[in-house]
Amino acid sequence: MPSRAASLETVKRGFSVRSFGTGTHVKLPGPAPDKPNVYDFKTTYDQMYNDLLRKDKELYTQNGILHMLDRNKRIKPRPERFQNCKDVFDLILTCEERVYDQVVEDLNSREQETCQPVHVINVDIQDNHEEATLGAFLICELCQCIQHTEDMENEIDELLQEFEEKSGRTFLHTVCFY
Amino acid sequence: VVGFIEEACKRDIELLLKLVANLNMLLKDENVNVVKKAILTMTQLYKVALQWMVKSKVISELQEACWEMMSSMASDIIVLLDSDNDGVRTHAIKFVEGLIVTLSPRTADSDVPKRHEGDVSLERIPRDHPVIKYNVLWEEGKAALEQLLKFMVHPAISSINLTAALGSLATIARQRPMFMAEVIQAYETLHANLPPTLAKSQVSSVRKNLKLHLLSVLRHPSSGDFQPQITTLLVDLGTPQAEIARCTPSPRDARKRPRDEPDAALKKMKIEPPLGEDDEDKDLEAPAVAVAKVAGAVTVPSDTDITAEFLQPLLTPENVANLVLISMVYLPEAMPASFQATYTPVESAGTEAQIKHLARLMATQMTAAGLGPGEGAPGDTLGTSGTLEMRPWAQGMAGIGKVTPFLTPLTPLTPFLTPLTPFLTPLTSLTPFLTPLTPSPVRLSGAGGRKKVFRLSEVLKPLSEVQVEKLKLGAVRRILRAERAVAASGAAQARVKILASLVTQFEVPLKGEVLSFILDDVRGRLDLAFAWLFQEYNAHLARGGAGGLERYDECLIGLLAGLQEKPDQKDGIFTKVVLEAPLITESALEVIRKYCEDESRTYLGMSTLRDLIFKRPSRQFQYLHVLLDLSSHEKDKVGQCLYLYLLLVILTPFFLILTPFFPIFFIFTLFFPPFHPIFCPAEVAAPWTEETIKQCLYLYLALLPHNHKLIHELASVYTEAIADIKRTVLRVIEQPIRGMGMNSPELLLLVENCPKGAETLVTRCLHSLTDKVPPSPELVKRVRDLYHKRLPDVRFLIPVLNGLEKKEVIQALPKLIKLNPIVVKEVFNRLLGTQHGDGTSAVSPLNPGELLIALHNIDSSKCDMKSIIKATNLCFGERNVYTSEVLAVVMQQLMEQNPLPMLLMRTVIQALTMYPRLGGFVMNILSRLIMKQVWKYPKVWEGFIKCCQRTNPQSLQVSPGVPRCQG
Repeated sequence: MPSRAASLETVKRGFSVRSFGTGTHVKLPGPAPDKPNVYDFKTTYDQMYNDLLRKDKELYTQNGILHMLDRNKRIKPRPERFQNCKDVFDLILTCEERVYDQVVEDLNSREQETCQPVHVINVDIQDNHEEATLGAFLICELCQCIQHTEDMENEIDELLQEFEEKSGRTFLHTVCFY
Repeated sequence: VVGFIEEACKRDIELLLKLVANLNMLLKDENVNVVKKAILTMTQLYKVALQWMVKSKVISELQEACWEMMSSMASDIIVLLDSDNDGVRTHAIKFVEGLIVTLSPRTADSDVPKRHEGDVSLERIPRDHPVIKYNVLWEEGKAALEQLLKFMVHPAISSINLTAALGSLATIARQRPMFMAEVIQAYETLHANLPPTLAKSQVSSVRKNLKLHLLSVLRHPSSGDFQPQITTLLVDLGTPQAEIARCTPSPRDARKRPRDEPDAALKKMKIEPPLGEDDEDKDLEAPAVAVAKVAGAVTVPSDTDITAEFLQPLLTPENVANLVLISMVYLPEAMPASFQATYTPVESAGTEAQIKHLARLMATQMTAAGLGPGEGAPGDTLGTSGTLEMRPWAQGMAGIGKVTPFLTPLTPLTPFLTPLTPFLTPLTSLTPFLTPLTPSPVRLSGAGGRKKVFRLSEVLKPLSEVQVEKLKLGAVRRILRAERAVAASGAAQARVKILASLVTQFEVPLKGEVLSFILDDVRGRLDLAFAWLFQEYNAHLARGGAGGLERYDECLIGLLAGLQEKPDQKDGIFTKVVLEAPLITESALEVIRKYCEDESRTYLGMSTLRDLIFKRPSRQFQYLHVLLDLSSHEKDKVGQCLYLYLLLVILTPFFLILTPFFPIFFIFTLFFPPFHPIFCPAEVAAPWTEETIKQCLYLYLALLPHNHKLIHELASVYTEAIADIKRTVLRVIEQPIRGMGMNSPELLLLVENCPKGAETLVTRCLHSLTDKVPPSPELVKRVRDLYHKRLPDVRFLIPVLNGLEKKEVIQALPKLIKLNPIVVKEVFNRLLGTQHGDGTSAVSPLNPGELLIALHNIDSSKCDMKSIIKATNLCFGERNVYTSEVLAVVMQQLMEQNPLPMLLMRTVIQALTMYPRLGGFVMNILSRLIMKQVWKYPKVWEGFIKCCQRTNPQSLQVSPGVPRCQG
């Protein structure tokens, strides 16, 4: 949820972004916090869309899930799982320490090939609407700042420190190699 | 472009000949991104080039030059480890990783990534290769590793570089297990010694990374020998045991693994600088070196191993404590971020393994600092910065997790020293001695300095008594003053602990110091106060409970007395201290008592005492006694408060069993001339005054409503008491009795078997009960029984009159009206309900009319006419009740009786006097009386005549009805 809000925000601002799941399933908010809608990674956005439409059109229109799915299905057919993606990225942002751990572990367990570095940054965002919105803006700002650096790798350290101070959050940051 | 070069060269290595120069140029490009890409390409191409060189049967000059170029570029990249640009450094690290892997032989237990299966590495290089020298490359590889390791301990390394380096080392360790020792050692050093420049979040990132890589290394089958170290590190990093266990290869796997190849070990030995040749250290190290050599023959020893083994036996708790103490002096003012993060509690403190680990850590530090017997070179480097070296060393100690905070010299000691309390005092006296050394680190620099440090405890001369005292005082004062700083660092608890244990061992002046410090801000320093108190108590227990109590006592009294003197303690600190103290001594109780006597604090003192009674059952009696003592206190306010608190105490059911003894005891003191000593002993012979009696009864009466059984005691005492006391008792008993209520079984019981002599008491009780409320049937029943069966005193009935039946009341009426006028008045008040004014009173069994009629019908043989007349007069007195209507009804009824009541005409005349407008009605009566031959009743006739006279002329109308003969 928070990562989705963040990716939506970053996409709105014209970054080239891809969003991934890291878990074993795709979870979308359900009628209650403990009743999420669970799909596997094979399910297409279209299927999810129709499923939710059938379940409770009102609710899922209200919380924006349908809108999101509608947008997503125009971008790609189905959600992607990070661990299955072999593409090379410059920067990976996560919104939860657990996800960060999964990403770093996955990257480290891959066999190294090009030794091209990728920075992994975790910004902890609580899973609620307000935090997600705030976090989305924070991430967006972070991306913008990174975009504007001349030499990302040289400046990212200081940039993160600055952001930490500004936002009062702590980031986890590491570098992995492809 | 660079990417193209890379791809091209991979396809056809021959192209490298042409492109190597370009690559070199790109490597020195101004644009960092180009440089980075070039480094990446080199990482790939270096392997390819080497392979190409190895494979080529004939090596052309061009090829050789090309290789030369590659080699020089490789060393250029190594130099780039010190580049200004973070990203370039990161890439350089990766390159060095690849270089090391390439330039070292693959062994059987190496992890080989599938993709790199075919990659060249050292073992594929034929020893007789014309250009490529096996040994030279091997050396180069090791040099590169050394560079990398050196790079990693750079104090200003950025977190990203560090992360990258950690990853590289993990890869190296897995792919080339022969370097495992170095890698683990580097990890250990790093863990104990995170660069101080890292921010807190970076520290956690790095630690996360370190954990990850350690786990990956641990999974490798060759990690067997290093398992203990890795495990300790992981535990320190907060990894759950289960996770470690999951990643540990099973022992069988480890055994299957071939032992370190002997030749590798031998080679290793050669590289190691000759050990133990330093004259300076020889005396110290001789045994250690011997051990090290033996060890070296078996496994691959490193500096650290040797040093660690050397240190291990030396690490007695005492030594450790000394070392920590010494290092304290060099601590930085502020706590590095790494410490906050690295602190994890040590679970296995004091065990063999822990000591081993500690030894290793220290050794790591010392080696890093150029110290220690394992290091061949003498302390040249050492001399330059004595202080700096000590610092990381001390940090190493801290990093173990035994020592948290770093702000004041002594605080870090705490956790360490707690188990070492016996050593504490001498150690403390060392601290001030060491402090002056800080500004002059020169004295400690160099190997000599080091030695001095090591033997400090031996070198020290015993200080003179006075000096010791002074130093102790100074030390404690410093700790005391460091309050805020410590609190800011989160080590407040440690500080309190250490202070408490220190103070306990101190002499009086120091205690005074601490005491006044605590009292300065009691609220803020309460924890310290308690820590101290408990420490004293512990000490007392440790001494087997014999004789040691004075100190504890002193401490407690000091605290309490200090608190007492403080003005305005509303927040109950006094109470808290008292309640939480492990033991309340006699003298402490005295202080509490005094506290209670202080008028302004009585309330607080009492509540304290109450809580004390509740919470310390074993000494309840003692405390209760104090409370009771206080109850006879002259000051009124004290008495008032006490009253309240006693109620609270008694309310607890638990106490119901216990307390009766006290009040009974009190009551009895009433009747035996010698007063209980607590009542001013000077007045032994003094007569009872109402005041003293009240004082004695006070407590009892307060208890009565809560423990009804007490009433019997009072009754039995009452019968024997002198008149004065009886009077007082009767006067004061009303309130408590009302509190008991008329349904109290005990009270009913008292009524039922009213003891002889206690009749007045019982009557009084009955009166009190029914004063405001109608009697309950139960009570009425008891009273009736009493009246009929045992004590036919009509006075008992008065209070319950309203509960009796009409017949009974009428029966008792003659007796009642014979009582003294005041009582009779009360009886009538009750019966007429005129007492309470409002209409809530009970419905009398007789309505006013019936009462008057009953009075008229009383047999004159049972009661003299005078009393009856008086009683009727009382009725007529109540004009509100006996209205003209009521009287008319009464007269009507009386007139219809046969024979006519004697007082009939008197009543008629009275009525007429009160209500002249009844004239007509009276005429009617008169005429009817004539019909009843009124003249046959002499008394009535007399009245009739009188009435006629009064009512003349109206009465003339009736006169004709009177038979002539009478006229």
